Amino acid sequence: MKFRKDKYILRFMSMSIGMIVAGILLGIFVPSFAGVGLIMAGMILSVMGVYAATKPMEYFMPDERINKNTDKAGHHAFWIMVNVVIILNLIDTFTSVSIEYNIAGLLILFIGIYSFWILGWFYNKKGDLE
Amino acid sequence: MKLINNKRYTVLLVLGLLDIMIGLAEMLKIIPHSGTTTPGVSMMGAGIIILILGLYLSKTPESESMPDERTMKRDMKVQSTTFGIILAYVTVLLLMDVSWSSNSINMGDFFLIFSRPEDMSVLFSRYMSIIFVAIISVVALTFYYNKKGDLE
Repeated sequence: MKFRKDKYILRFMSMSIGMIVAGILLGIFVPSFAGVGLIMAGMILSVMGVYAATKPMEYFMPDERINKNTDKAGHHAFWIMVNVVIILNLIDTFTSVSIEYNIAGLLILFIGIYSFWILGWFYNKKGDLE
Repeated sequence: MKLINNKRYTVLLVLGLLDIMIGLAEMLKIIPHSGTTTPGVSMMGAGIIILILGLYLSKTPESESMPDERTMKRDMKVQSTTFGIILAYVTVLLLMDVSWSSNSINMGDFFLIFSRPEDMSVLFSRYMSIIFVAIISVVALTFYYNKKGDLE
């Protein structure tokens, strides 16, 4: 099996290994879950980098249809997420309900990511992207 | 001069008038609210802006007010990129919040805006900062993609 050694792969792998090293250092000096999270994310990225290194560069180049699909899904997901943030802000400012950002941030992230995935899947199935 | 030549923009006019009326009712204490900040002034301001926008758009012909294909492509690319920026920003804010609340990282008062939001709760809350980042990103990226030209 042949591995690519171009600058994109080297940059990606150095970033993932850097994350693992940063996670180990953070775990030693500041005991928290952030270190474990960094190590796990770095390991996942390393595996992804090794997989990507075995494929040719053309394999990952998106065509025009995929670009259009991503843009359309991102456009709608952006508006969904902005509306969620505006509604949370209005509730936080104008009512007696105080929303903790720990919960609201996770809610915003989940809504944003899932709406992007679902819309991407939907526009992929739908076909014509006009 | 015909004022409204497109039915779609009458929605904006109605929305603007409704906003102003709710804002007035709020300011005159007809509608009670339990929050610490009065939303009346901001609702009236938003209503006036929507009303002016609706009046302007209803007076311009549809061929001028409707965006062309290039503008639509540009806007989609801009908003798709801004979506990624907001995701990254919300994640960074969340990580900072978790780090501060668990006292694992002590940054002192360096990031006063984010570490003690109650000091400047209205203008610099986390939610407002997300909206602020989104607006700045949209404006900057629109300018960039407009200058760049080819939207592929």
